Amino acid sequence: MIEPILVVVMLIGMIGFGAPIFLALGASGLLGLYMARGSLAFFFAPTSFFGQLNSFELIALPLFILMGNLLGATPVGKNLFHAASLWLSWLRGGLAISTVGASAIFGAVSGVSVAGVAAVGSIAVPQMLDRGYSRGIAAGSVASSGALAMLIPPSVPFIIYGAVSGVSVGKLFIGGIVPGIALALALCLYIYVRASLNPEEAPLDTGTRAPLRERMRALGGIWHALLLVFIVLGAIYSGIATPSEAAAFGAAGALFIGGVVFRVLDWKTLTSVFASSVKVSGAILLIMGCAKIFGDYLNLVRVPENVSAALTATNLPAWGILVIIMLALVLLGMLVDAVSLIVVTTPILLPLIVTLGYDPLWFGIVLVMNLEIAVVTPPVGLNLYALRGVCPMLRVEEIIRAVIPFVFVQFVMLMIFVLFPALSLWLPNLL
Amino acid sequence: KTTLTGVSYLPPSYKALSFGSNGFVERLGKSDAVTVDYYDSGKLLKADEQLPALLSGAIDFMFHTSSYITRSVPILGITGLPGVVEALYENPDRLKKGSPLFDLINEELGKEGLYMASMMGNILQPEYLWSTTAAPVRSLTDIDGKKVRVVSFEATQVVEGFGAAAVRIPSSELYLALQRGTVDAAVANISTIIGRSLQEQLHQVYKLPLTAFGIGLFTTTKRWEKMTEDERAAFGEAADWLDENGAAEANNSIYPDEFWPIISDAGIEIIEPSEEDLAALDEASAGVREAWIKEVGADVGERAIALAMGTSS
Amino acid sequence: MKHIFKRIAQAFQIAGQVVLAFMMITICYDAFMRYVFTAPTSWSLEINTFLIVFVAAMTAADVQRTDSHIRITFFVDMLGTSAQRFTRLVIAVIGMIFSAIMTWRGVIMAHQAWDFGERVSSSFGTPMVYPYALLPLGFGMLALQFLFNALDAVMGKAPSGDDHQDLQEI
Ligand SMILES: NC(=[NH2+])NCCC[C@H](N)C(=O)O
Ligand code: NA
Ligand code: NA
Repeated sequence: MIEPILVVVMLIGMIGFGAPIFLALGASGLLGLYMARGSLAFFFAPTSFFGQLNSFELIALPLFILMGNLLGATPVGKNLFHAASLWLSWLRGGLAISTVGASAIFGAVSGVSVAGVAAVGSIAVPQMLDRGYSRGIAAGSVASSGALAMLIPPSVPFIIYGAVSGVSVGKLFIGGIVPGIALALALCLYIYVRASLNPEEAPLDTGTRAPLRERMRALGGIWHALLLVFIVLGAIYSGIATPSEAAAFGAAGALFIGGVVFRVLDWKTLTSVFASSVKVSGAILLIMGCAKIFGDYLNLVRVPENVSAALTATNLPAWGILVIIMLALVLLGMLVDAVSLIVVTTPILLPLIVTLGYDPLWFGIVLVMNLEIAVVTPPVGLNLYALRGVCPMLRVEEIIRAVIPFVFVQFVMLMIFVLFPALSLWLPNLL
Repeated sequence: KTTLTGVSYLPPSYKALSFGSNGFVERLGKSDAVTVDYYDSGKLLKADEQLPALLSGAIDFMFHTSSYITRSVPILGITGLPGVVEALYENPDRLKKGSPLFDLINEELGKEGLYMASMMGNILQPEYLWSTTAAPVRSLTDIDGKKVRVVSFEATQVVEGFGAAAVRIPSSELYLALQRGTVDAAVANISTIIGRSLQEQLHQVYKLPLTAFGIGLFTTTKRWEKMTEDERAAFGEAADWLDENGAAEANNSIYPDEFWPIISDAGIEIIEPSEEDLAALDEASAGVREAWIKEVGADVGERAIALAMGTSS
Repeated sequence: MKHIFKRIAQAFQIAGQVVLAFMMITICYDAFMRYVFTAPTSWSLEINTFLIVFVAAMTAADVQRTDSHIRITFFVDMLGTSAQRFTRLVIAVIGMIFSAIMTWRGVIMAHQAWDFGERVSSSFGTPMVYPYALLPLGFGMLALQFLFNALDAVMGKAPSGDDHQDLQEI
């Protein structure tokens, strides 16, 4: 067990000394593979990398980044937040709360959370900062709510859990709705309370309330954004496109809005939008590929498996086992990517869960709630890096510090749904 | 004691498909000659990276779905040829370890440095055409104009020949695609249907045997020859068990006793193809067989088909 | 030498932009043809999936050239100048080794795929040598870039600044 610890120390050390995240993940994973398998292990590094990225579902990531950047060239984001600030001027933290709402809507559009963070973050963070919001609230609200895409259907993690556990994908999708909305509301509530206690973190628009006419006019400025949501959601729910493909429609729609409606896309702007989109997508995908090298090392030496197996051997009351399982999953989620976490731990934990008398459907739901935490916890927390990718004005360490309280909220919600399974089961069982 | 590293991309929840592989690994692990380091569910390697890993010696054995690699290893195409699979499936002895067809396949694999220790004793029940309420397919003529999700190279051309549009979408998006009408139907083995709960979105199955696959246990000739007597004996014995029980358990127990009842209970209408439809399929797929024979060589191809059809021995 | 390298890295980056545009257009086209004419392409899914690998691997060197890869600078910023130089050197060397191994094994992967005639078992049937070849190309360039970083660190040249400001300019 000494080698995995060494590898994790190397990972954290390299990240601490300023190595690119992809390199820290790739090099420490490769070292681990080498210690475990000798020179033969070199084979696994490029195949892990290639296998991770060779997946059509990931296509949504670069395309939603492109969509976000195209919109960034237009006043659409500004108009949206202008309208939100006029209409929600009475609400402390209103803009961050709208951001959570936007992420939830985006969650219905996308099945992978990094795509949501990229699209919402590139618009929401600059707007919030412009309006005097603290960097902590701006970064934390986007990074944590972006993960809602996994809980709100369509959801790639639910599909994978369905295949691994045999639970109905349809029921899982429906089962994710209540926890997804509950988590979104909890994040909003947290923002509201925090903004009320620290008004300087989320300033209200001072001055008199804007007259109704002006507020109505502001609403007129958001139809482009609504059109885009309509295009993407419409493409999915009408069956024109699958969720991954719908991202291409979103990007094309944004191109139309920028090029035809606002006429802001001259050749120079257009190429610079594409240049930065490709750069950011490349940087994030590179991290995802290398995270898999690291994850496959842990899988090869069976770290997640051994942790899960150790848990099944404890002699505690049911609720105690559950709490420990959840804590262990949160810890594993710091090191392992979301898909590995499902695929590796489910076959070992599920039999225990069933023996304890719990519903596999419920376990899938709380497992994905765990993933909501896993994607924002360092050192392997892809949403953190995705947010940094689309918001160069934020530093990674700033983002990490910002999400800590949000993770706490997520964990409380997770515990509520763990200890009261009926909360998540009533809706799928109704249908 | 030598450690043999093996992989499968299938999760254990694909019960019918992994019954054989799990049993093999269990038996091999119990032997005194070797220890087994086994990774299923694609934990170590994704499906597409298994063959390269085996060839480069990074792993010692793999279970692989034949249809995933028929274009890299053309001889395996015999397990998926329309017009052939029904006869092959009905006669398990034809693909058994040591049968003439089995040996012929291994002769061809040997040229590429591969060795197949077993094809689980048979191919699995063929892939049929499953369709939604909105776009029912109950006969050959119904196929015309439908959007059909097909993976298999062998089935694609046949389905297109009947006037359908062959659609490629990832299996993770198939559920939603059927629900939303992005596709009207899917060519699939019943394990894929149950494994992804697709029965929730389907309304009828038209049992036209369009293609099929088996799950083979592969190693390289190099690795096989490097094994000691004891190791080879242990591996061979476990493979014998797999050959005896793998496909048999799926085809004769799990499918009829568990999976098809789930399909019926889901209210899915089961339609047997008429004799004319089967004959039409046979005729329509002649081109696919021709193309395949060309690829593997006329002599080998014709011999393999004759063995599979039972028209020679 | 460095100049030629820069040109190639930039060319890969521009190719990446073309790829992104290609993805957007072909995926829309494929879905449109499927929905309206029931006539989807056989290649869109397959090619676009491989292009994700393209975007990740082929742009890596150019992103490293401009020091735009995502990283945490909080702790190194507190170090002295010579300690910072030393860290840069160590990271560049590790980066060189890692990228060189990825290149070397990538070459073997592509070569074996070529040798064996590996293809996707679909009707389009992409020969796997092409997507696999993206790895050695991209990581080979990245290894060179880390070599330049190492040389810069040894000679005490300041790292090229993070010019990743384009997002804010728009
Ligand atoms: N050629 C085949 N149909 N192979 C089996 C494919 C099964 C796999 N789950 C899929 O649908 O993608
Ligand atoms: Na979603
Ligand atoms: Na994490």
